[in-house]
Amino acid sequence: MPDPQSSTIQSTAQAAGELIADSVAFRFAQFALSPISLKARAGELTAIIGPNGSGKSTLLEILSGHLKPKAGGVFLDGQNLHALSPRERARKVGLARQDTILLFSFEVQEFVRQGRHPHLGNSLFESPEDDRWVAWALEKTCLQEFAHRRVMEMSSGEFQRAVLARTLAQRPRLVLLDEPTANLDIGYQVEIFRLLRQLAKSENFVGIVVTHELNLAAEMADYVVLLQGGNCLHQGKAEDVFRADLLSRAFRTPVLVDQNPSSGRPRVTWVAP
Amino acid sequence: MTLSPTRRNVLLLLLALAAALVVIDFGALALGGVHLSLGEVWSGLLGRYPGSEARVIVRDIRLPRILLAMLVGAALAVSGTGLQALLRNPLADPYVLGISSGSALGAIVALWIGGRMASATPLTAFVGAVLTMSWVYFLGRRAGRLSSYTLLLAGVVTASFLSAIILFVLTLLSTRDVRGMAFWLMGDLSVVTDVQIRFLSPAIIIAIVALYAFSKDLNVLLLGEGEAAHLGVNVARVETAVYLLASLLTGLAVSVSGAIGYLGLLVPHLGRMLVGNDHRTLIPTAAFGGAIMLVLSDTLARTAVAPAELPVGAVTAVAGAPVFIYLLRRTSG
Amino acid sequence: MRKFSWKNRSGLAAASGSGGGGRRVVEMKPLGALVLALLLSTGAISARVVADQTGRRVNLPDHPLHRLVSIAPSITETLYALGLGERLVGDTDYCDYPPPARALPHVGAMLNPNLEKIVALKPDLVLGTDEANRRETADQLERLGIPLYGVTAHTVEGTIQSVEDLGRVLDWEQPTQKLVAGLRARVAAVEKEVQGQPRPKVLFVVWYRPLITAGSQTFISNVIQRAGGVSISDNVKGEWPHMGLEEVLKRAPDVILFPQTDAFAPGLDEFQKLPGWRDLAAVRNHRLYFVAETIMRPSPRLIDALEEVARILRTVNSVQ
Repeated sequence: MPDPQSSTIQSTAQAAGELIADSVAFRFAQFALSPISLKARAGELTAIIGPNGSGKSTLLEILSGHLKPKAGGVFLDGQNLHALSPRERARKVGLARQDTILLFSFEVQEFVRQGRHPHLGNSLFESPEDDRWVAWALEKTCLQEFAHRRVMEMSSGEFQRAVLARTLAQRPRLVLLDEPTANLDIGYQVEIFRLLRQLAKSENFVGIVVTHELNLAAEMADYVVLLQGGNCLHQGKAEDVFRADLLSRAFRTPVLVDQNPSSGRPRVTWVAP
Repeated sequence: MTLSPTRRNVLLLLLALAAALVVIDFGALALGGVHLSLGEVWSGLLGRYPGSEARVIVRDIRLPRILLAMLVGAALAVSGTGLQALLRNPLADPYVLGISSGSALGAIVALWIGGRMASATPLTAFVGAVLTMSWVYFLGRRAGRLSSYTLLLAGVVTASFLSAIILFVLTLLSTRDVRGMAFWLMGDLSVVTDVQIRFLSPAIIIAIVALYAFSKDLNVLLLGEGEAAHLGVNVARVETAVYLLASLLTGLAVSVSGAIGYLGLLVPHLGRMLVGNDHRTLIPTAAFGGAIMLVLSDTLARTAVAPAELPVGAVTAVAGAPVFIYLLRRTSG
Repeated sequence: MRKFSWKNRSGLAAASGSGGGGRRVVEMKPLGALVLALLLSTGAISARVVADQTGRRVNLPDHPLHRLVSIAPSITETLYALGLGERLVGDTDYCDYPPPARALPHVGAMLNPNLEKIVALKPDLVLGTDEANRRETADQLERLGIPLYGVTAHTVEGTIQSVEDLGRVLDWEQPTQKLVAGLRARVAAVEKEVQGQPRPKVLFVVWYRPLITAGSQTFISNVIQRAGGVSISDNVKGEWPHMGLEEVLKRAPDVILFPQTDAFAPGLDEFQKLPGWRDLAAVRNHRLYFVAETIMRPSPRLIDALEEVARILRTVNSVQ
C-alpha cells in the first residue's frame, strides 16, 4: 500500500491545475471506503453524488487533506495535501460545510474576512492586500451591500453566498463544498451552482461539490462521480454517469433518465409508484 | 457596534480605555469613609506630607485595593472572554470549569488545618485552583484532544462536586471561622500585601497579553472546531493554550480575592456590545472594562454602608444581575 | 450558612441582652390550660411546664434530673464549674474544657447533633444555648419526647444570670449561688478598679482576612466595656460587622485584641508588613495582644477573660 505521506509518489502526478486522488481508502467502525481514484481539473466543476451513507462526505474530507486516508494519497498541483501543515493547506484548500455555528453575531464582512486567516502569517492584523481580497470576494458573490449586515439576519441563500465568499477569500486552488444547497429553494440552488461554475472557470480553481441535487449536478458539473456503499459505481461526464440502471441501483428506487429540453443535459425523474 | 480591528483602532481603543481607567481610579482614591479632594489624592500619591492621614489612606489603604481591583477585574473579564470562545458558549464564565470551587476548597482546607496555615490561604487557594485545572483538563479530553463539550461537562460536574465538599467542610469549622470563610466565598479585596501585588501584576499582565496573541485564532474558533481546522488553525494547540491561560488568570484572581462573580460573564458581553466580536478589539475592552467595573464595585462596597463594608462579590452580583437581564432582553428583543 | 434565630416567634420576649433570665411559669389562660391538659393526657412525662430563657415552653420531667446532655461547650463548662459534671452523660465533639468533658460520649456538633445518639443516652434533659444551637434541634427532640432547656446570654451579666438559671432548673441552688457570688465579686472588683481610669479604644479582630469585628450585641463588646475599654466597632451595625481599614484608621484604636484560637494564629509581626495595618498607632507601638478564646464563650471562664482584658488595658493605660 502506498504510504500517503511518501513524497516519491508525487512524480507520478505531474499536471498542474489538477487534483488527483490515487486509490484513497478509509475505514470507520461500520463503514469502509474502498480505494477510489479520481482526477478533477482546474476550471471545472466536479460533482460527487450518491445515496446517504455512500461515503461522499468522507471522500470530501479526504480530498480536502484533512482526513488522512488509510491508503492512497491526494495530490493538488502535484503536491501531497496530507504532507502540508494545516496552515499551508488552508492557503490552498477551501472547504465549506453546513455546520457553521452562529452563536455570536458577526458582520458579513468579518465573516468573510476569516477566510484570510491562513494568509495572515505571524501578523495579528490584516494587510491592505487581505482587505482587498475580502472586498473582491464580496464583489464576486454580489454581497457588497451586505458587508455590514449581521450574518444571523441573512436568509439561507444569502448565507450560503457568504460562506462561498469566505471560501473564495482564501484564494484557494481547490474549493470543496458539502451540500451547499441543502435547505435552499430552487432559485438559490441554481444561483449557487451557476456562481460556482463561473468562479471555477474565472479563478481557475478545482471545484468539487457533494450534492443531492441530481439534476443540478447533471446540468452544471463537468465531471461526475457516483458513489454507493463506499464504492465508486461510475465516474465520467454527466451523460455517461446518469444512466437509469446505475442510478436506480444506487438510489434503490426506479428512475427515468431523459434529456432536459432546454439544455440537452441528462435529467432524472423518479418513477411514480 | 463593530469597531474595525485595525492596528490604529486598537491603539486608539487602548488609549481611550486607559484614560477612562485613570480617571476612575482617581475618583476611587478620593472616595471612601473619609472623602478626600483630588489635590489631597495627588499629594498623597506623590508621598508628600509623610504621616498625614491622607497619605496613609491613599497609599496604604486605597491604592493597594484599587490596584488589586484592576488586576483581578481584568483577569476575570479576559478569562471569561477566552472561555466563551473556547467553549463557544456565551454563558461561559471563569467559574463554570470549577476553578473557583477548587480554589475556595484550598483556602478552606487551610483554615480547617488552622495555625500558621490559616495565613497561607492565598497559596493553598492557588494550589487548589491549579489542581482543579489539571483535573478538569484531564477529564475534558476526548480522543487525545480537548473537546469543548466534554470540557464543559467535566467542569460543571467538578464544580458541583467541589462545592458539596466545601459545604461539608464548612460544617466542620467553628461558626466564627465560617463567617470569615463566607466573606472569602463572596469576594473581598481588602487584604492584599505588597508581595502579592508585585507578584500578581506581571503574572496577570503577561497572561493577558499571551491570550491576546491568540485573538485571531479565537475569532476563527468561534465558527466551530471543524471550520477553524479547515482555515488552518491548530485547534488542539490553541484550545490547550487558551484553557491554560484562562484558568491561570482565574486561579490567580480567585486565590487573592475570593470568588467575585458576574464579571467574567458580563464584561465580555458588554464588550461585544461596544466593539463587536473580534477578539483583537474585544480582549483589550474586556480587560479594561473588567478593571473599571471592579474598581467601581469596590468603591461602592466601601462606601455604601460605611463604616461597615459589603463583600464586593455581593455588589457585583446585585448590580450584575439587572444588567444581565437588560442585556438578555435587548439581544433577544 | 444560616441557622434559625432562637427567638420565639410568637413574641414571648426572649431575654436577649436585657438580663431578664429566670424561669417564668406560664399563666394558666383557658387555652393554656387546655394545652396543658392535652399534653398531660398524651402521656408526656411532664409535671412542670416552664419557659426557658429563650421563652420557649419546656416540659420538665417530674423526677430529679440526673442524666444531662449538653449540646453547647459553654454549658458543658458551666456544668462542671457548678460541680454537676457527674450528671453529664453526653456532650458535643467540641466540648474541650475541662479535660474530663473530652472523655464523655459525643453526640456530634452544635448545629446538627446526632439525635439518635442523644436518644440512646436516655437523658432527662438536654441543655443548649440560643447562640450555638438551632431551634429546629429543640423541636425535633421535643417530638422525640426529650426536653431541651435553652439559655441565652449576650452580656457578662447575662452569662452570670444564665449560670444562676441553670442552677435553679437543676435544683442546685446553693452551690450555684456560691459560684455566682464569687463571679459577681470578681466583676465588681474589676469595675471598681477601672472606675475613673481613662478608657482605651479597643479594636477586637474576630477575623482579619477580611477584617471582621464585634458589634455592640456581642459578648466581646460587653466584656471590653466592663473591663474598662471602649470597642471602636460598637456603633457599626450588625453583630459581626466587616469594617473598612480606613474607618479603623479614623477611629485610631489604642490597642488591638485577637482571640487565641487554633484557626487564627497570625504572627503579630505580620501586621507590621500589611499595608494599612502598619499605619495604625496600635500596630506601630506593638499594642497587639492575644486574648483567651473564652472571651466568646458564655461560661464562668468569661470572667477570666474579663480579668485578662482588664489587665491588658491597665498595661496600655500605664504606658500612655
